[in-house]
Amino acid sequence: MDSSDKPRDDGSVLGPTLRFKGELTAGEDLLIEGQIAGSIRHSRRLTIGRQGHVKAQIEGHIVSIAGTVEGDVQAQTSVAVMETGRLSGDIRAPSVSIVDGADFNGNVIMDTSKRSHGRDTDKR
Amino acid sequence: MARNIMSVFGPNGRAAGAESAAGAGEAAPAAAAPSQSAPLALMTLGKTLVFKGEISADEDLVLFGRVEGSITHTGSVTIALGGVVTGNVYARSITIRGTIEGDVEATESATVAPSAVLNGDIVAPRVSIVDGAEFNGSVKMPPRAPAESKKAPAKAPAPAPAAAADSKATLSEQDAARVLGGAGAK
Repeated sequence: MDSSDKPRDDGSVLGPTLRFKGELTAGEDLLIEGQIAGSIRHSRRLTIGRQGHVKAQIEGHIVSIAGTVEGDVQAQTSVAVMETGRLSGDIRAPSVSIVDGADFNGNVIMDTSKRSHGRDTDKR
Repeated sequence: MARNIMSVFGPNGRAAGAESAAGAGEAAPAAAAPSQSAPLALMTLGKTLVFKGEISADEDLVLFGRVEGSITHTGSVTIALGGVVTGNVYARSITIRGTIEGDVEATESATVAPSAVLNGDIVAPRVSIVDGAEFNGSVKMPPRAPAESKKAPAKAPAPAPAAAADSKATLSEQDAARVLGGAGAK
């Protein structure tokens, strides 16, 4: 019974039936398959899954979008919009990738001064 | 073979009513691990997650993190040890091992485990509070009419809230009566 009280370190999944309106903050890897409206502040890897639908300002470290996002995305390390991803909003990150097939409407603002720093930390 | 056994265990655990939350809780790490491709029957909200706002969901839920706001759920909700909810929780069955500052309303059952801290009221047809739990509030058990109620479950449990959800006409009448009664009393 106590095993359920051991927190998992490999992150959380917000399932497809989950609906949330408000502010979400998290410090662990997170996969969103549900619907979120509001704002997300995140300190690790954030993935918007294929079924995920997010209407929010997103602040994260590494953000990967395979679902739908309406809102601005800001990341300290990188933002990736996957083939199935749909993003309407601006991206601000040192490293940005948009895969062929992705649906993206918005501006990209790259702060390259942070980029070298980001890569250095990646190599470590 | 092993998978067959697992799949048999899964539904059984869930169907077991009050025990289900405990069973589902134990299954949490294993069930959530396959993640993306498998259909998600159980959701784990980790300890670093902080929700400020309203959450609703249908999948069984285990909360390790914090929720400031209400949870409206159609399945079973477990507030794990370390989980904190500041707000009301509505669900089919609710198991509390963490902390709740708010009211708890279950259509089936509510369980307060020894590690739990609950400051708020409980409304549920079946309530269990285990020795060691910290609980300050009232317990209200909506009348469970015996055998007959099973034929018409929509009517039987939770008279006021259920009726309110069912028909607006009834609600307004009841509300009117309540308001008049309240005014008269004062």
